[in-house]
Amino acid sequence: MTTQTETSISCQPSTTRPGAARRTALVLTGVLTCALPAMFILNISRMLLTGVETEHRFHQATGQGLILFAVWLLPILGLLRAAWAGARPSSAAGYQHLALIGTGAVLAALAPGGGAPYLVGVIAVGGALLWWALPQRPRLRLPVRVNPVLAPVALLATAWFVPYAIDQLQRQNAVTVGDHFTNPHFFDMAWLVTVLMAYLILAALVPAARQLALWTGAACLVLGTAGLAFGESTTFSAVTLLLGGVAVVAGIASARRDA
Amino acid sequence: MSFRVLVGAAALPGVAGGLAAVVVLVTTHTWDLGLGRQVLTDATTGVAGSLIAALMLVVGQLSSGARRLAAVLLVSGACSGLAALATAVALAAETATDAARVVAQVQSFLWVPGFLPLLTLVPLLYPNGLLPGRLWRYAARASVVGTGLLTVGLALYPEDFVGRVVLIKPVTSEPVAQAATLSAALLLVPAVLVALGGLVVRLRRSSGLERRQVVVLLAAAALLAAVTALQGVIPAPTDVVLQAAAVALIPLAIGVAVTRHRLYELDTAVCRALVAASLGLCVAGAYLTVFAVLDGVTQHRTGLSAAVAAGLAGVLLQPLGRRLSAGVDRLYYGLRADPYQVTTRLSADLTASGLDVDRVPAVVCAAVVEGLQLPRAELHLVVRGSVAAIAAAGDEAAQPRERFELRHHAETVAWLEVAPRSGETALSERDRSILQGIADQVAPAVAALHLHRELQGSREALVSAREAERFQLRRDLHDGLGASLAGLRLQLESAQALVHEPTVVALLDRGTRSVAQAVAEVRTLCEDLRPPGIDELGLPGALAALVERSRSPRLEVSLDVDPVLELGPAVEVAVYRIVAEALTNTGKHAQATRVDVRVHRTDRLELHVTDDGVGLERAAGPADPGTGVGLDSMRRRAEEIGGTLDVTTGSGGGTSVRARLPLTVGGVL
Repeated sequence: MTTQTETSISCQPSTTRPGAARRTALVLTGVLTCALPAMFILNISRMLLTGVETEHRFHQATGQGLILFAVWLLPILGLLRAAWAGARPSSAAGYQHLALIGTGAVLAALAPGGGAPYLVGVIAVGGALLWWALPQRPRLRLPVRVNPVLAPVALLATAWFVPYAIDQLQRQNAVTVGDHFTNPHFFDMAWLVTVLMAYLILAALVPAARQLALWTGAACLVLGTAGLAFGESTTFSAVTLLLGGVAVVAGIASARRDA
Repeated sequence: MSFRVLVGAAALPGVAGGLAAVVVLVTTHTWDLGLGRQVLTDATTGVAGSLIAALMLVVGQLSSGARRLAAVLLVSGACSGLAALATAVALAAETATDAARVVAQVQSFLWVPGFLPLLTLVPLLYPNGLLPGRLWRYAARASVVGTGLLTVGLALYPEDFVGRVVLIKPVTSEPVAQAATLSAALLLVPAVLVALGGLVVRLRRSSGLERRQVVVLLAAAALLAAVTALQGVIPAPTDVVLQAAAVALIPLAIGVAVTRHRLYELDTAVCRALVAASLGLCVAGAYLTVFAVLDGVTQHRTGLSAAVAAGLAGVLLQPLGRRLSAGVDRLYYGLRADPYQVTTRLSADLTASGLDVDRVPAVVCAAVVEGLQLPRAELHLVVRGSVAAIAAAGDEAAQPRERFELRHHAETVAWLEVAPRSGETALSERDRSILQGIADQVAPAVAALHLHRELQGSREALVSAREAERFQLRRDLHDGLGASLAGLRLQLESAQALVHEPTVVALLDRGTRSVAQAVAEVRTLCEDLRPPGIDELGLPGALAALVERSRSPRLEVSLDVDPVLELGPAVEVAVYRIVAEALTNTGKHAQATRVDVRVHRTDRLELHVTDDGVGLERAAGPADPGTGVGLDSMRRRAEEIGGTLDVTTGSGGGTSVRARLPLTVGGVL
C-alpha cells in the first residue's frame, strides 16, 4: 500500500525565461548569424533547382552549398532555441558551432584566397556576439570517454579526408583566375570535410557529443551520393558513402549505449 | 580424440582452404581472371564460417539446436573454403591436365553446399536451431535435397572453366544436369522463401533475447544485400573487398548473437581482440592522418613524414590503448566493468530528492538489471518468517536462480534473487561480488521500508480502531444520552405547562433551556465524532447533503457518486472530510464558478474534486495563510489510512484534487 503523496503546484518547466533585453539581444544576434547562411541556402537551392552553373553542381550540393550551410546554420538554431527558452544549450550544439569557426579560422590562414578570411571573420564575430547573448552557455569542459567503435571510425575518416582537404587547399591556393578565384569552392570543400572530421573526433571522445557521428554520417552520405550523381571521383564518393553508413550505424549504437 | 580436436579438424578445411586460395590467387596473379573475384568471397565464407562455427561448438553449454546450427555453418564453411581453393587452383593451372580438369569440375559444384545453406538452413534454424513447425521441417528437407540436386546438376553441367587455360570437365551429362537443376529449383525456391519469410515471422513474434538475435542477423544480411546491390557501381577492387567483408559479417553475426552470453569463458579474449582491433585501426588512421598532413606541409618529403608519423602514432599507442580498453569494457560488460559505477549510480538513485521509501525495491531491481545486464531481478521481503515479492524488474520469463541475503542488525530482512544471463548457468564471481555488495548496501534501506510498512500498518489499525470507537461512542451518545436528554426536556416542558407559580415556571424554563443546550452539545459531539448523515443516509447521501449545502448562486456544485458504496468506517470519514475540505477551499480561495465531485469505487476508492478557479498559485496569496493548512489536512487524512492525495493545477487554471484510498482500513468494513 503506497503512501505516496504529491502536491504538485504547477506544470510549468523549471528554466528561467530570459528577460526582454536578453531576448532582444538574442533576436539581433540571431538575425546577424542566421541571415547569411539562410540567404546562401536559398540562393544555392535556387541555383541547383534551376540549373544555374551546372558545372558547379557538386559544390552547390556540398561544400559551397547545402551541407556546409547546414553545419553552419543548424547549430546556431539549436543554440538560439535553447536560449530563447532560458535553457542551457546542448554541449553538442556548442561543439558544432565552435568546430565550424575553429576549423574555418585555421583553414583560412592556410588558404586565404577568395575572401575566405573575411567570411570566417564574419562568422566568428557573429558567433562571438551570439555566445555573449546566450543566457547560459553550453558546457564544454566535459569528461572524455573514448568510444572504441567511434574512435577508429574517426581516425580512419581523418586518414581519408585529410589528403582530400590538403588537395583542395592546394588547389585553392593555386587558382589565380576564374570562378574559383573569386568563389573559394575548393576552400569550402576543405572546410566542410574538416568540420566533419572534427565532429567525428568529438563524437569519439565526448559522450555528450556522440550524436555528432550521426551528423557526420548523414553529411558523408549526401557528399558521397552527390559525388556519384554529379560525376566526381567514384572512389572518393563510394568510400565517403561507406564511411557515412558506418558513421551512422556506429553513431546510433554509441548514442544508445551512452544514453 | 577429444571433442575440441574433432571440431578443430572439421574447421581446418574451411580455414586452410580459404587462406590457401587467397595465397594462390595473389602469388599467381590470377585475380583478374574469370572467377577470380568470387574466390575472395568464398574464402571469406570458408574462414569466417568455419572459425565462428568452431568457436560456437567448443564453448560448450550450447543447446542441441544451437549445435545443429553450428554444424551447418561448419559444413558450409568447409565447402566454401575448399571451393575457393579449387577455383584458385583451376585459375592458376597453366596446362589442361587431368588433375586440373578434375579441380575445375570440383569447383563448379562445391560452392553450392557452401553458399546455399546460408540462404536456407541457417535462416530456418536460427537462432536456437529448432524447427518450430511442419512447414519449417518440410522446407529444411527440401533445402537439403535441393542443395544436393543442384550440386549434382552443376557438377555435370558441360560448362568449360576459363582460367589461364580452358578446362573441360571430365564428367558431364547435360540431360541429367538439366533435370537435376530443374528439380532443385522447384525445391529450393520455395525453401528459400520459407526460410527468409520465417525469419521475418520470427522477428515479429519473438521478444527479448530471441528478437535481438534475429535483428542482429537481419542487420548483417541487409548490409550484405546493400553491398551486393552496389556491385558494379563501386570500383574494383573495392567492390570485391566490401563484398567479402559483408559476407564475413553473416557468420560473425550468427556467432555473436547465439553465443554472446555464452562467451563468459572467453570474455577476456574477446575483449582483448576488440581492443586490439580498435587500437590497430586507430593507430593506422592516426599514422595515415599525420603522414598526410606532414607530407603536404613538408612538400612530399616522404621519409621524414613517415618517420614523424610513426613516432607520433607510437606515442599515442599506450594512452589510447588504455582508454580503448576501458571503452571496450564499458561496451562489453556495461557498468559491471566498473563495480564502483554500479554502486555509485545506485546510491544516486536511492538518494534522489523525493524518493519514496516504497520505491527503493523497484530502484534496486532496476539498477541490478540495467547496470549488470541481468535478465531479471526480484526483491522478496521477509515479514515474520514469510517471504513476499515486493519488486521485480526485467524479463518475466527469466527464472531467478541465485539469492543474495539482505541482512540488517543480524536479521534477514529481504532476499535479492537474480537470474543469470541467457546461456549462462550461473553468475560469475565478479557478478556475485557486486550483487552481494549491493545487497549489503541496500539492506538498511529495505529494513527501513519494512519498519515503515509496519508503522503504517499500526497507524491504520489505530485509525480503524479510533473510527470504530467513535462510531460506537456516537451511537451511544445519540441513542442513549441524547434520547434521555430529549425526553427530560419534554417532561420539563410538560411540567412548565402545568404549573402557574412564576418562580417555578422560571426555574423550569431555565432547566428546559439547560437541557436543550445539553442536547445541542450532544448533537455537536456526535457530529464531530462522525460526519452528519453518514450513519443515517450512507456516504452517498451524506455527500449529497454536503454538496447541497455548498451550492450558492455563484458556485455550481455537481456530484457523481456510486449509489452504493461499501467502505470501512474510517474510509467513509476520510472521504467526507476530504470532500468537505476541498469544497471549503474552493469556496474561500478559488474564485470558481463550478466544482465537480466524483466518487467511484474500483479496486480502490477514487475521489476527484475539480474546479474552474484560479488555481493553487494564484489562490495561495501571501496574505492567505489558510490554504496550506487545508491541503495538509487532506493529505494527512489520506495518508493515515494508506491512501494517496494529489493536488494539481492545470495549465489553464483550475484545481484538481485526486485521492486514491483503500476500501477498508485494517480489514474493517
